[in-house]
Amino acid sequence: MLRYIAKRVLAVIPVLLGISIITFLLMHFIPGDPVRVMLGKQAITEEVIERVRHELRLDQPLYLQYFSWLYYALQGNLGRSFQMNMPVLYLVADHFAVTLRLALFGLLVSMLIAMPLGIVSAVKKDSAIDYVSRVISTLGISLPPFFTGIVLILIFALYLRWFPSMGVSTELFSIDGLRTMVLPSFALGFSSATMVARMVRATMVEVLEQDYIRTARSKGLKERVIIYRHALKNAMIPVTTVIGMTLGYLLGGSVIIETIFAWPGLGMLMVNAVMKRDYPLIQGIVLFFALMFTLTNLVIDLIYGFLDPRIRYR
Amino acid sequence: MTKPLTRRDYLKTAAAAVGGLVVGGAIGYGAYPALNPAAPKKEVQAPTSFVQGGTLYITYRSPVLNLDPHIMTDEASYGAAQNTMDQLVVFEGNTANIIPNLAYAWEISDDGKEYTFHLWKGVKFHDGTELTANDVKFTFERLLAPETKASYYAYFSSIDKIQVIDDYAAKFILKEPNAIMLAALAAPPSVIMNKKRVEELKGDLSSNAFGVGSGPFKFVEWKVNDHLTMEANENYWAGRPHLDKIIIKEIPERTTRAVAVQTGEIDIGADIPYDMIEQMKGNKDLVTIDDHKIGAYYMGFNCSQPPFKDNVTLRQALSHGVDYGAVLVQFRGHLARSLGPYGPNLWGYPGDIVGYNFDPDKAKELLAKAGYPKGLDVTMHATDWNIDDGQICAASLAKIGVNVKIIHLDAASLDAACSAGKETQLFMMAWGADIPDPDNVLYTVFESTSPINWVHWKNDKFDELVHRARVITDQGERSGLYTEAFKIVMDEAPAAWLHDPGFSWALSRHIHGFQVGPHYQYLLRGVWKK
Repeated sequence: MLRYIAKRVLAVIPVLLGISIITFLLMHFIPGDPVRVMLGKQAITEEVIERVRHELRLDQPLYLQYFSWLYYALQGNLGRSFQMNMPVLYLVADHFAVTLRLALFGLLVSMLIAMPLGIVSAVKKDSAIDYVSRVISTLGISLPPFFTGIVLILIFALYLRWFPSMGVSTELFSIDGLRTMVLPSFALGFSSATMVARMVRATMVEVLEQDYIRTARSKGLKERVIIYRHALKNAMIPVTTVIGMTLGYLLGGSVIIETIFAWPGLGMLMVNAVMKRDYPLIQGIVLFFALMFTLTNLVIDLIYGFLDPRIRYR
Repeated sequence: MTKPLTRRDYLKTAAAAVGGLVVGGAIGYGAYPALNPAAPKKEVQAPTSFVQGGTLYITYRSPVLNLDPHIMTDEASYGAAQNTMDQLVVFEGNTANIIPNLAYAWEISDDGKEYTFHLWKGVKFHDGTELTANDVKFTFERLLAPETKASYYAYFSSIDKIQVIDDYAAKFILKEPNAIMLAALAAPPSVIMNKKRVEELKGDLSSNAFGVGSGPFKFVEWKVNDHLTMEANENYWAGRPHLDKIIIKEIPERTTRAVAVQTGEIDIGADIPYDMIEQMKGNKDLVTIDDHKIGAYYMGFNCSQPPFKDNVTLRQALSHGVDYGAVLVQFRGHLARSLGPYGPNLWGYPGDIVGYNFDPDKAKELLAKAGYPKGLDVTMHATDWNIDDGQICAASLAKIGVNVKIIHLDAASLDAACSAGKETQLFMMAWGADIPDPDNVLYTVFESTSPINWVHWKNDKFDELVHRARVITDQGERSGLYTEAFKIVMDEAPAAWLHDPGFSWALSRHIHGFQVGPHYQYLLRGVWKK
């Protein structure tokens, strides 16, 4: 088992390397000059622009620039943001906590909606409840988080004044802190909830029609035990994949929710970095996201092992 | 046949869920007023005197990016710097009048090359150090140093050296006369920095600017993309400001900003969507302010490439083909038509200007005269913040036979395309003056060698006029030159000017004394809250 984990962790390295190269090339090939963006539209002379370009080593050949970045990155120095002149590592770490919080709570909301919805739908297949929950599912997938977010703000923050319209609190475990979490988590969680709900329903339906379930019933086991102990656990395997993908999506897709609710997270940082062609920052954030994704996938794979005794890693 | 969930089980679950929601909602509703104790519940009388104290929550339309005045290029950072640091001179409110600030008096030599500033005695930086002429010298030497990469370098490159005459007098010696020197010194990045403190910080102000400035508010903390906190400078040389604390909260989404002002979470919000402004008009607790800047949004013609190269008649034809009224509708009366590069809100504006009106018949006539009787196909480069204007222009041009293909890019790509000037034909752009002086609109945008002359237009007589106006200091004489230059650029129509730059603020009725400067920088020195 440990060997397996070690192998997987090592495998992350070529992935990150590859991603950093692709990101680097993409950044340099899109139009837009980071020096001009950095210096502003003020009547800057060409001389100043060239001088700054030279200082930032942006006039060097691409491969030199990449290897120079790599050399420092391997020592833990991801450079400084062009626009803010702050260390990239510091900025990423600072903003990550917020994004993580949002993604986890979004996932929590997602599960809280999806699991009951999916299970009830499967168990009471083709009943009125099933149809209602499938309608809700469709709504969730069709309504973009942007729309859901703004509507939630208008209803719950402006008209009802139940929750704050924006901002994140530094103390998570306080009434204040939790209240700032509600609307954004829900906006984020709602659309992914439906994907998971449909998956849960589909796999549960399949599992509930299996022979061993019939056997369990004929043994006289209580329905609740059958559903939770036997059916659900088996249905969870494909669902776990979806949850893993959802977490990835939530980590990356939170940019819109972060912008609407004014949460200083990685998504917001990334969007600004790309618009301003802040190369070091872009490179740093993409690397970080890649790392998160690969680690999340590793954890998900390990969870399979727990869920399904037939799966053993060597 | 599976045994379904009993109704009892199901109802129990549902009841728990509903109960949870109700309890949660009750907590939220009950706890809400505690979040914002300043949100008033009763009518407030108009104050007869200033009220001391209170915390102001303000949000701008973009986040603060930088704490170093020399490096910052964005409006939000200007706002933060403006309230924590001081310039030698400042603009009076939102006008172009220059009034004393740290310098109570100044003299300009007859040849326009020497500026001597006399400083107040006893002005202290926030760390207690006294502000002297040495700090003035240090500040501008740092601005001009190549390592600083200062964004305002070009505005001060005419400075040869700065002399410290004594502790309270500094003399700027220029290489040649520069008419906009005083105005440049009043701009947000021209604040005087504490030499001792900057050296302590080893020149790195990226995360901490405490003690660098002498302004009405002291820098306390900055959490990137989240908030910036300032508190009152008890020993401010112009008198302690009324407010105790200011928190600049970053809210990137316009709708959320508007909601936050309406709920009272924020006291002052910038750039509120115009349709929500209309909604707010009925709200007695809110006041809205329209903010206009010097400059204009325009549809530019790339004058270095066909079809607009050397074809003034064609450009004039399209200038008559834009439905300006339609463009203005989206602003619901909050922004006005700009006939030229700037409006009557700045001197040098020709009083007898006519401009290009929307006249499709005249446009078609001129099109034929220009050699395109059947119309033509052109491309238009635009980006998010001007695509609406662009689409409206394109729609009206289509009616006179000019088929516009819109190319929607992101802002940096648009800048790059316009700057290169190879592929653009029509493009949407804007310029708001950094410095409220005609030089900063006419020279900066239309002088043939200027890096942001994106219309790539060249006119020798125009160049001569704006070059000459730069080096003389008599405003009356300069005004005449600019009026003439203005008329030339209008005649040659390198762009079709649409409307002035600006946006609207919404503030709580309990905020008094709020002002905005010519760079969109918010001035909180005189604000009080009741």
